[in-house]
Amino acid sequence: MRRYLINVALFSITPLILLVLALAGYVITDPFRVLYRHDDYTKDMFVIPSRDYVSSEVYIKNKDARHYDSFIFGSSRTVAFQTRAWANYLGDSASPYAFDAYSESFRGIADKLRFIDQHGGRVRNAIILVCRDHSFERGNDESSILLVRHPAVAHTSWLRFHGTFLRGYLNGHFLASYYLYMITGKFVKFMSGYIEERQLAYDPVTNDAITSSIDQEIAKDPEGYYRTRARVFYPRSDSSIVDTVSRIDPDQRMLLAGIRDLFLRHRTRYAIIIAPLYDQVIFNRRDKAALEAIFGPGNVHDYSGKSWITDDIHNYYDNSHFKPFIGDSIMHDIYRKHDRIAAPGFMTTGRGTGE
Amino acid sequence: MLFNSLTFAVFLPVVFALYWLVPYKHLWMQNLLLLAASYVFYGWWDWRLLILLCSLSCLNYLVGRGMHCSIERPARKILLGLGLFGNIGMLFYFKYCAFFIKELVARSAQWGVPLHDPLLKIILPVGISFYTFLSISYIVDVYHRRIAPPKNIIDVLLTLSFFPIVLAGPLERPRTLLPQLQRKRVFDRSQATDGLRQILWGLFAKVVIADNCAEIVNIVFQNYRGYSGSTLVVGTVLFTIQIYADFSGYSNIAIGVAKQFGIEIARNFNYPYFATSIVEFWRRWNMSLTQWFRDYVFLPIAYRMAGRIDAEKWLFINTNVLTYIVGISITWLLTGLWHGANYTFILWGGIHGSFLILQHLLLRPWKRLLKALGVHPENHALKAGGWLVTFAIVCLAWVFFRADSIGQALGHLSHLFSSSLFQWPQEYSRKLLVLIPLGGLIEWLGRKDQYAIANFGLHWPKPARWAWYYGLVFLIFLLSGKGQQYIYFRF
Repeated sequence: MRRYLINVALFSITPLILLVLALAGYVITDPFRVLYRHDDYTKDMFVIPSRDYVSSEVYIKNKDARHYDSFIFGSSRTVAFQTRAWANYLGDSASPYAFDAYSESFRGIADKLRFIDQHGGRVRNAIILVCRDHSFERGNDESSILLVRHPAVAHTSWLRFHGTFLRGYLNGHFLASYYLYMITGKFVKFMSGYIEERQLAYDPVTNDAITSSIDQEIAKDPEGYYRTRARVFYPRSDSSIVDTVSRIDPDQRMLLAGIRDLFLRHRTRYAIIIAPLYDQVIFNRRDKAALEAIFGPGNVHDYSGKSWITDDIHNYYDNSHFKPFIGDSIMHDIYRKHDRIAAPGFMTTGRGTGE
Repeated sequence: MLFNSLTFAVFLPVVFALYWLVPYKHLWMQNLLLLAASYVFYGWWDWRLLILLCSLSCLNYLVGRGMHCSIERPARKILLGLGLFGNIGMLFYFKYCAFFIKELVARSAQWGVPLHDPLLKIILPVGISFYTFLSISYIVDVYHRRIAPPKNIIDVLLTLSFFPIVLAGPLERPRTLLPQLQRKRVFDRSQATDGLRQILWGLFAKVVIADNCAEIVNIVFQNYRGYSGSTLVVGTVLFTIQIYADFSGYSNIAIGVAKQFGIEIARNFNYPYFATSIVEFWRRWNMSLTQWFRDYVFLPIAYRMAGRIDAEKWLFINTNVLTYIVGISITWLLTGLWHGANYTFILWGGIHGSFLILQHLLLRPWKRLLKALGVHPENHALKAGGWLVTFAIVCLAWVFFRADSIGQALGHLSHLFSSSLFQWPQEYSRKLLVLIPLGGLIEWLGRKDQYAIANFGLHWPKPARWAWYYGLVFLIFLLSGKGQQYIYFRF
């Protein structure tokens, strides 16, 4: 037994030393920027972060100084809705903020709104971008470093939160990618999924995604950009496809009604925008009716299906994210169509739960 | 908790240290500690499911003791019936109830008799298929007096919940496990070291091979309509490799862990993808399950039929052949059903059963043909051909196992055998193009051993041997795919 234990101990020495070094590296470099508070969470950041965490931390850091009162909620597709463009429709005193998260769901949006409300924030204006594939997800994927949510906002465990990042860090593929990039500064294909190939910057105040680097790349060689991504921009069906799966069940309705009620209390002017997804699948009609019943038909704007937006691949960066000028166009369309977006007490505001 | 998790990496050394700290003369204490550890291990998933495991084990203990104390055969039969009802009933309720009710509602609607679907939401307790089969083995063996049920309840509870095997096997028979638990265990360094090697190989198979295959398999099977036939071939072959690496990896880890406690668990896989016939494949794949079905389903059916049919032929079919056909058909349909409450699994079982029957029927004519042609049965070309045909059948049958529905499986196969079969695959992995042949080569070289690296490098000097082990650890750490659940946990 003694000899066995000695052999095991000796064998374990090298991995243990490497583990200690790795842990030291984690504490010193804070690769995901979750151990310490940072002035800018995205500057020189080459590791793909938890967008929910960063958005929440930037909001917490700046809320007292900036008094944010206008929010854009949704997934990474909200890159198309820039606060500087939105501000044109909000009035001079508005302080907009892009409060997005990767694969954001209504559960996540509800938690963020509740957090804002509980910490004395006002929600004068809101845009919620609804994506068929994410918005109605129920659970949180606490095992993914990209999707794990800010514990203070989502009321989850800080221990589990940090455990997720530590596990993500102690992944061999991540460690190799991280330190290799740190030493060489060069992105290599095997690092994808862990290291940002193209560093996407975010405004440290409004949290807007800054797309200038990718826009410049496209401007340099537009046809080349889309030609090299021919497999990404898969061909769509010629005929219209309607999503036949209804995702809004009674639990979701209660959640959505809770969001609506908060908007009513804050007298929020809001717009629920159903995203123009590349797949051109028309949003489930029953779900749309439910959204209209809850939020008011005048406040639900459906851009799904075939349209001038979704037909042209040049309106997209990839088969998921549409460009800011599309977001500008949608906002112009919405605000021009009715100068009102759910003025408090206005009849188009839904009251029921859409049953 | 999973074997390949940080939690287990802490759990195992703690249990190991406490276990061997107990002096071996206090056997009951060692068993009690193992039982507590087993319940912690199982309850880690969901403490409520632990109540189920515990209750079932207690029922089996009482049934076993009752049968042992009853001299009258009718009383023993009643107790056996009660035990079987409890075990099978529990399995049926948790695993098949929702499926059969849904089918009943669907069929009755088709026949114009609408029934209300109660929308049952029943949690499938992890490992239930395995530990109920262990339990059935126990009470049936007690009934046939193959084992004496211990008075000590701890021994029985531990036999039916031993943590390395409770979730996904191997299905170690109580008649081999119980005596080991009732015997004093002395630490055996070579056994424990061998166990560590086996754990290492199991982790490599699961984390490096299986999980990396899964990344492509999941994409291909989800979107089979959008892929070429050649890509579907890649997906099918990768699933074939994934399920073997996943399950054999798990079994190796389980056996290796058991060895740390001085317990020997029988081998579960004997390099099945080297088989040159379907019969041989099933002698090598998930051997504990195959043997269970043979001993508790096939043989009782065969004996019953043989006992009831006196004639040499029945319905113009030789009685022995008929017995074989009926026995195999029932056994394999049940084997399929055991894997899951879905027609795809039943069809998968039916496919294998059909080929087993076919091979049985063609065996003699085949031997006569070879003799007439002057070809030796061990001819290399013949073996290679047999291997290719067997591998192809197994691969194609796995499509039904993996698909969510029969429609999806048939769609997958029809797309596979389309003209796009000869295009360059759209999905593949350079990493796997290196890893799979490497893993296959190691398996081939170690095919005579209990597991591939059992004797690999044992005669090398220590630095070289340790460099080999460090290499495996490094590969596990660097190339671990996105964590996937063990496939057989779903059963």
